This record gives sequence, structure tokens and C-alpha cells, in this order.
Amino acid sequence: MATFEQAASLAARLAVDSIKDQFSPEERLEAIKKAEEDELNYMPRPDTLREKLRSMCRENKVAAASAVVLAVMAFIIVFADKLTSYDPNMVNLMERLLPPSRAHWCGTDDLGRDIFTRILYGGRVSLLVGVIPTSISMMIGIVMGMVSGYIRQLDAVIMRLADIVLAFPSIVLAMVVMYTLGATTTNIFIALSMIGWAGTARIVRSQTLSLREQEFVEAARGMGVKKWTIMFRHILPNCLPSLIVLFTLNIPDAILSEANLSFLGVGTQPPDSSWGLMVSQARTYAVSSPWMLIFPSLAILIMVLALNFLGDGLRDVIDPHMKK
Amino acid sequence: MLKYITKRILVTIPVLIGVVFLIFVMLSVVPGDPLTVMMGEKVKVDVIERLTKSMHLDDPWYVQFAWYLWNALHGDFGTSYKLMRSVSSLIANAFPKTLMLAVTAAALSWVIGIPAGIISAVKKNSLVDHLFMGFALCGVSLPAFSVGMLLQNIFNGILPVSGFASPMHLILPALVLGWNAAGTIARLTRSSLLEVLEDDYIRTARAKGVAPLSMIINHALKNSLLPVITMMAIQISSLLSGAVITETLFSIPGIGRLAVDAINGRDMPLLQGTVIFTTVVIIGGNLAADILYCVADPRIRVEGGK
Amino acid sequence: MEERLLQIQDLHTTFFTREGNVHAVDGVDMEIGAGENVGIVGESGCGKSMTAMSVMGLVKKPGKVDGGKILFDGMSLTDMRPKERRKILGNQISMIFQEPMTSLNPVTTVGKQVKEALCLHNKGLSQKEARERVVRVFEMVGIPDAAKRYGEYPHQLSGGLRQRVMIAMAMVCNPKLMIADEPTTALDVTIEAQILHLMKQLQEEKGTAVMMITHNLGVVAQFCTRLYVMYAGKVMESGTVKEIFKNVCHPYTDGLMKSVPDMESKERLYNIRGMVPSMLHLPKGCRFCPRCQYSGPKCFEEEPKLYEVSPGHFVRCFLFEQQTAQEGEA
Repeated sequence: MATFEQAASLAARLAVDSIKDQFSPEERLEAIKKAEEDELNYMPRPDTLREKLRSMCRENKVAAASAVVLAVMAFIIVFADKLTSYDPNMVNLMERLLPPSRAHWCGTDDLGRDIFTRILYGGRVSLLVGVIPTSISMMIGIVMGMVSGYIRQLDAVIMRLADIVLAFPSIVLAMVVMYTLGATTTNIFIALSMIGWAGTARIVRSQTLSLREQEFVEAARGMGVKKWTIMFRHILPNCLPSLIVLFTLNIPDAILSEANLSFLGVGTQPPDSSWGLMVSQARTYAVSSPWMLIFPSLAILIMVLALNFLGDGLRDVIDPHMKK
Repeated sequence: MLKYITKRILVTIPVLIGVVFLIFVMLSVVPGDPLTVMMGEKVKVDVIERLTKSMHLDDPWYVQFAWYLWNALHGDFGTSYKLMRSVSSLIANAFPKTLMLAVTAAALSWVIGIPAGIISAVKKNSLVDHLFMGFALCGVSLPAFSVGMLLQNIFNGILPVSGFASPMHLILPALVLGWNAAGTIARLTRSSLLEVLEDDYIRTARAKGVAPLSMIINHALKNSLLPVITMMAIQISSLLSGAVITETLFSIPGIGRLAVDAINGRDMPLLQGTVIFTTVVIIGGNLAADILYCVADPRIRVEGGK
Repeated sequence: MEERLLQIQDLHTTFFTREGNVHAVDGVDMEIGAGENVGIVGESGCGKSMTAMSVMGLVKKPGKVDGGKILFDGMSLTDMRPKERRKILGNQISMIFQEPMTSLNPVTTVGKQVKEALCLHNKGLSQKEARERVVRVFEMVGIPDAAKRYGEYPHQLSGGLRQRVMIAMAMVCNPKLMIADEPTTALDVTIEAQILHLMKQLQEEKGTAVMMITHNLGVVAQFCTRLYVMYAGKVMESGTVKEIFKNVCHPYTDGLMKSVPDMESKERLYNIRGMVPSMLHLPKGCRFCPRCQYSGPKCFEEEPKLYEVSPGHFVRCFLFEQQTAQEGEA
């Protein structure tokens, strides 16, 4: 290659080309230090979760609005008894099938109960069914997925188990469980948890498989860290972002499943109400009293839509490569 | 590729046995004596004894399971308690209806979903995109029976809203199922196409001077439809396994309806039969999805890849 | 220099991001003569690839060419309609990318992909003729079993072969200018030499001008006649390879040269201290001053211009300001 000694003589030549006000070595060091500090202050740091959320709110207005809608819905559902003076289960045959009015914002149903009140109270079931089985099924799924991905001997067994669950038509499986155990709200939780874990397990497994090959996990293994510690301390935190997204997107599925079960008569049992049950109770009256059908459907639609928008928005900022 | 497919088929066998086993166990703990369900309360003791023997009901559960498996392999899923007909013939009767509904709904969802997804991706963040995606999201966000009831309400008197007598009867249930499926397909097509458009070989094509439209049709679409094909196969198998809700709502005597009737009537053989049938359909669909993917993707199809 | 083929005048390419505007290319002037081999050297992120992308019109959003002119063969690429510009791309200007693994479409055979470039710009060609020509080009770029390889998919080829396919795609229309964006970075060293040799040979045969983008001065020494050294979106030094290698002026170029391992030297390998500044926040004065061992107070305050130290040899450094001034006076 070319003449590097020529290059090395640069310094010598430069000494001749005197710059009028040369730095003393100390001065230069200081100037460089200042510039570098300045630079460091502007170094792009990896965004923290909070910053990512903030940027989502700024850029994805729909997702931000969805978060607000969900917060409002959660609030009015939780404080339903403070917000409405009607008793959700009070039958008043004098006021059956009334259209929406000032007294009854969403009208009344076939037993004269105020539909708006029943939507608020029914939301409690739908909200619980959205959150609790999803949490349980995801916890099961996380453990199963990590074990399956990390402990190779158990991989085949767990994944076949997941295959079996996924091979069932989920509504039929849930119906069978509900029939076997009896139709109570607790059993809805159990039925939906039994079905939901398999999908999570698959995703966590594939992430574990790629994470276990990464240097920091190998380093931990090299230092003799125990299996379970590696899984929960090193692998799990790295799966968390996509799990948050998955959680948001799994809740609507659970809500819709409960609605379906209620429609088939093995979900929430009267006189309790859930949105799904309210819609299915409207079946006979859908033509004459469409408000019985429309308002609970709207409640489901708004909540599920908001969750989906929020989930999509979260995915875009947290984990852009994840696919459902 | 053949090796992969063979392996894939072999893996489904334990899954199938597991499904049969699971459903068998779950149903055997359901309260209620099958013979009481079948014959009512007042039956002669000797009749019960004879039937118990012939149905292997006094054998331990694993013997019952083995008998069941053996018979199932021969296409015999037993006799429905309630309807007193062989489960196989009931399924054979119901399946064509489900098949027609599934095919109509799937066709509808592809014809609408794929173009909508492509247009949305090409016109990303435009009004059209937002409209299409909003419509798609509504399709996956509403419970099927809400949509169904709404449609029944709107088209009451214009179209048949219940039963299964003519092709006209198919329109509304197919719309309900198709909207949901089209929503999923459109969203997947859009996101997959957008992802592919970021790939390096799209840049190469642009550097060649390929026009934007030809770029999407000749370069991006083939790659982006790979995951969509998988989704289509999975979807059609889930439609074939019986749309429980839609069939119940529209009183279509298909597979899904059969399963619901079986559960409501505590008709164990019928329930076992339908559930096993539907799982086989779903497993078959997933298998087909995998094989389709292999065939469509030269990276797997052609040997010599790394 | 003979006839000017490509002229870049005061090119600005900016990325408008949430954090601020990134001036990836910040006032670059460049010229490439017909049949000339020009190297563009710099660390990653210095704007050398973006300069090429701007020429090709491939700058992705949120980036945009927002200033300056690009003249090709007397036509202004920057003022051209997209449709007109596409007629030039792949035909008169072509490009080879860094990643041969991902730059080819995985679901189409390599032959078809090359053929597309050919047919797009030669509408009258029959399928059979096109195929024959592609096979001939495959042979020319040294793909063994060209006829058989025509029908294969990218994943069936090795990295070196894929890059040869890319070169074939770039050469198939006999372009006047070929832009090579680190064509050998992703390849093994042995393959690298083969590919460079091939490019040089093709270039000499066909008289194609080449813009070779690289961070490897060795490649430049072998391959190029003229050289642009870029740093943080600006040209720091330019001139003929001979002149610059003989008379390194800019401290940054000097640093780059010293960073190349030298078998004969026993000294510890030199590295330029610090790292490339964030393009969002450039130092106030000379962009290189915090990393420069010769920087004075002026460097931290003012931006230097390009000074001509000898005919055709330009340096963007205050160290040479007086030298040129004195020479000018004398």
C-alpha cells in the first residue's frame, strides 16, 4: 500500500504552518473535554418505556384517545353505584321496553330494567373477564413458554400440549368446560384461562429460544447462574415489552369469548348481567326494541376497539417486529 | 421439503390422540349417567344391563378409551343418545351446510380483504386507509351475534334471516363471518406489505428503475402474501370446524350447531364425535397452511438453501 | 479530467426526524468524469451512502434532498420527473448494494431479476434474446454454469455469487455510471479481491465510470484514481489518489490512513480518538475538531472552507488556510 511514512510526516510539516494562536496542550485538552461533554449530553439514549409511551401519545392520537376512553370506561364501571340511582336488577313491568328518554338514557329492557344501569354493572363482569383470565392465562403461558424454550427436554411435551389446546375449536372447548364445572363467573375465568395460555406460550417460547443464544445469557450461564434465575431474571425482563402488547391485545379476545359463552347460555347467568348476555337477551326484541341490542353492542365495540387501538399503538412503539 | 412435511404430519398424530383423550376424559366427569340421559328414568333393569355391556360402560375408563379409539379409527363414533342415529351420519349430514357457509364466507373475505389491505398499504395514512382499517377493525371487534342480530334486524323481510333452505339463506351468515375474516385478512395484508416494502430488494428494484405499481405487483406482493396464505388456510379450517355462534343464530343445521345441541342435550357420543371431527379439520387446515407455505416459498421449496 | 459525467453541486440531504433535522449530506460538491474511478471514503454514518442514495433518488422518508443540484450527462436529475428519472436508473446509472444477502428478491429467480432490468430499458427485446443476453452477462461476471444459475433462487447462491449477480444486474444495460456502495464489506477477504478485480476489469472493458463507496483505504488504493474523504456530511479532502496518498493533508485522512494495519510497522495500531459525532448535534466549528490532535481555538469556533493545497487537491482544514493564502500572495 501507499506511503504511510509520508503521512507520518504530517505533524512535522504542520509545525511549520503555524496557526497564529495555537493551543497549549492543556488548553486543547480542556476544549476537547468540553466538546465531548457537550456531545455526550446529546448522545441518543435508548428510549425508556416511559419515553416510548410518551412518544406514542404524541404521535398516535388514536391510541392516546383510546387510553383515555378506557380510563373513563373503567371509572364509570367501577363507580357505577355512585353514578346511577337505578337498581340494575329491579324489575318494573310498568316500564318495559321503553325507548331511550331522559329518564332512561338507553331505554329499558323487557323486564323494565334500566339498560344504561345494566350496561354499567354488566361492564364489571366484562372488565373482570377481560383482565383476570387474561392475566392467569398469560402467567401460565409465560412459565410454559420459558420452560419449553429453555429446557429442551420438556419442549416437545409442552408444545404438543399447546398444539392440542389450539386444535380445539375454542368456543366448544369453553362450553364443555363450563358444562363440566357449571356456569358461574369463576368457571368462566377457569375456562378462558385453560384456552388462552397456549398462544402466549408459543410467543414466549420463540423469544426465549432467541434470547438464550445471546451473549448476556451465555455469560450468566458461564458464571454458573441457576436455570430458573436465568429464566426469570435475564430472559423474562427481555420478553416483557412484547408481553405488555400481547396482554392488551388478549383482553378483547377474552371479552368476546365471554360474550359468546353468554350468548350460548353457558356464560354469565341471569339475573347478573354482562354485555354479551344483554345482547343475547335482546334477541327476541331486536326488531321492536332495537335499543336493547344496540347499546350493549356499542359498549362491547367501544371497549374492544379501544383496546385494539391501544395494543396496536403500543406494539408500534415497543415492539415493531412482533406479529400476532 | 418432503422430509419436513412428513415430519410435520407425524407430529400431528400425538396431538390427535391427545385431543381425543382430553375430550374423552373431560366428558367422562360430566355429571349424569349416560343411560338415564338416553332412555329416560323408567327403564327395565335388564335393558340397562344389556346396554351397559354392549357399550362397555362397566369397563375401566382406559378400556373404554381404547374401544372408542378403535371404533373411531373405523369411522364409528357411536350412536347419538338423543337422536338415536349414528354420529357419523349426523356429521355427514351437517358438514355440507357448514362447508357451503365456510366457502362463501372465506371467498367473501379474500375478495374484500386482500385488495383492501393492498390499497391501505399503498395509500398508507390516507383517508382510504383509515376508512378501510376502521371497517376492518370493527369486523374483528364486534361479537358475531351482535353483527348477526343487527343484520337480521336490518334485512328482516328483505332476505331470509333464519334456516337453510336456499342460497339466499347463506347471504347474511356469510356476511357476518366474512366481515370478521376479511378484517383479519385486510389487516395482515396491509402490515405484511408495508413490512416488505421496507426490504432491501425493493430498494434494488427501485434502483433498476421499476415503476411504483409494478414494484408492488411484481416484487412486493408475492413476498407479502406468504403470511396471508397461512392465515387464509387457518381461517378456512376454523370456518369449516363450524361457526358455532353464527350457525346457532341463523338456525343453520351445521357442525357448530350440532356441537351446541350435543352439549345442551348432554349427548356424549355426538359431542365427542363433533369435537373430534372439528379438531381433525383444524389440524388438517394448519397442516395445509404449513405445506402451502412451503410450496409458495422457494427458500423452503427448493433444496440447497442454507 | 475529461468530460464531466456526474456533477454534484452543493447537495443537501436532510432527515426530518422528531429529534431534529439531521443533515446527512451537508453541502457536498463532487464530480465524476466519464470512465473515471472515484472513491468516497469515510467512517460509517458520514453521509457517503446518502450521497449515493441522493444521486439514485432512493432517499427514504423522512429524508429528502432539499438543496443543490445533481447533473448527469448534462441533465439535472433533481429537476427531473420521476418517470423520466426511472428511465435513467438501472439503464445509465446503476447501483450495487452492500448486502448481497438481502438485496435480491428471495422469491424470484436471479435470472429473472437481472432480465427485468434489461427488459425494462430495452422494450423491443424478445424474451429469448433477453435471456441469452442475461446468460452472457452472467458469464462475463464469472458466474460458473451461467445457464443453470439463471433459474436458481438467491438462497441457493453463495454471498460472492450473489454479489456477482448484483454486478450483472448493474452491468446488463451497459451504464455510464455504476455506484458501488461498499460492495465487498459483507464478503470474505478472498472473495473481496475477486469481486474488486472483476469490477476493475469490467470497468476497463466497458469504460463505465465507478463511484466506489468504501471505508477501506486499501480498496481505494487498488481501485480508484480520485478520492473524496467525507466526514459528518461534508467533504474533508479531495484529490487524486496518488496525490493524497503522497501528501496527506487533512488530520482526519491522516488518521484513517494510520488506522490501516501495516505489516512492517511494529507500532501499536493507530485509532482516531473519540467517535463520529451525533448528526443531530454537530460541534460548532470544524466537525472534526474534538477528535483532532492539531485543533486550535479557531477550529472550535469557525467552520473551515475547502482550501486548494495543490492543483486539484482540496482540504477542509484551517491548518492549510495560511499556506494557500501565502502561496496566493507569492
